[in-house]
Amino acid sequence: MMLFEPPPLPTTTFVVAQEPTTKPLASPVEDLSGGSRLSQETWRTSPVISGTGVPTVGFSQNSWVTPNFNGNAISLAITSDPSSADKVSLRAQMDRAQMEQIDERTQAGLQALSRKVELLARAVEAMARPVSHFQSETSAPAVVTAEVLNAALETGKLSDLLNFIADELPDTPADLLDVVQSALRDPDPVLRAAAGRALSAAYPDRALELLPGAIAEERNRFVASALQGALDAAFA
Amino acid sequence: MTLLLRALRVDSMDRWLKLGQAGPTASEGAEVAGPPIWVIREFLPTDRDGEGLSVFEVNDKSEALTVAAAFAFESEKFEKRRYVFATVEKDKLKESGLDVVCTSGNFCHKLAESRHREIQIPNVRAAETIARLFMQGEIIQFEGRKLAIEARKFAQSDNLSYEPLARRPYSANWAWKAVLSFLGQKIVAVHGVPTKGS
Repeated sequence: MMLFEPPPLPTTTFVVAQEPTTKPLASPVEDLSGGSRLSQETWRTSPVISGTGVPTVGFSQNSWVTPNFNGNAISLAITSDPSSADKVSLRAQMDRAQMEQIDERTQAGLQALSRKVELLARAVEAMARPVSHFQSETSAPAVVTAEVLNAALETGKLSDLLNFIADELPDTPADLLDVVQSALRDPDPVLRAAAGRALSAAYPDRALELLPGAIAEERNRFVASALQGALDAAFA
Repeated sequence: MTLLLRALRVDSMDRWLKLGQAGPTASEGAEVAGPPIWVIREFLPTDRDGEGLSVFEVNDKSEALTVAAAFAFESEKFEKRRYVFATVEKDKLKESGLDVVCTSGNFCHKLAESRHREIQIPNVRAAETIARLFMQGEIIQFEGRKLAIEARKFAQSDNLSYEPLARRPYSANWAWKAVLSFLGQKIVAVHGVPTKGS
């Protein structure tokens, strides 16, 4: 992506010449570039004609003129001192190299910036989504319907769904009770703990009936602790 | 019985639950092989710890609930989370030759602040020992709903110190809201500004 079309290089090398006595003007290029400054004597925002008497523009023995491009305007500089011309010519070439360098740097910076903006937008989008343990292709469901429940059963992600229900307490039109009750007797410890939590969150009254028995039967001490926590929450 | 509590990452809970399934015989075998690496990682000091491993010393489960509620109070969505703590008996830790140092943490709750300890970990072997002891200990899990009730209770009491909360760089919005509402209540109480009710 090229943002700034670089100025075409002149086929003939002209020479910039000017009196260095004039005060430099603030150039917008230098503000944008940030780091390296363009030589302020040669790069100007407006044509500056300096010297004594009537300024002459053109090719003559003692005054050489070249158009310069600084991003905004063509500037003309005139001198009547040919001895400074060589120095200024060198400087003009250096400035052009600098200019190209700045162009590259600007483009790289802009690309980095657009990448950052993209990542930020993605982060904001992720933060707007509800926080949950339910990680799936689609975002977390706001409503747990029978279809969502069946999908979770088929993909084996029932424990994630139950943990999500326990954490977020979404609307659950689907009848969870049978599923949760069978999950409480599942051999998978993760599923048992998740079932206890979901039961306590969605059906606290039933949890008070069912969980004490489940805790008494539980062999896994960590799952028993999770169920105990769920039971305490059901009391609260 | 003095217990030391260490907050566990909720992400790793599934693995912990599977670990609890192992039963006594398998855990003896695990003891020979050493604890899994992810368990050791849970008990290594992170950026939020100081020099040693940051733990809380409690005498019973009700104090553990208070500490957990203080944890919950510091996070913004405390109703939507569970807090899980691994526990170890302090005496067992001392028997293994590990030091527990009293340090002041940076906690908003006065009791939790006074119960803050650090386990000194001099070398890798000590880290492994700590992981094993915690693995053999119990796990206490608190649901967010219960903690929210407890946290609200002590937010209205005089147990909170708002200064560390206000100094916190993260969740500044929420902390400042709490501070301002607290100050607002105090001002109303002092100056007797008539409210809607009166």
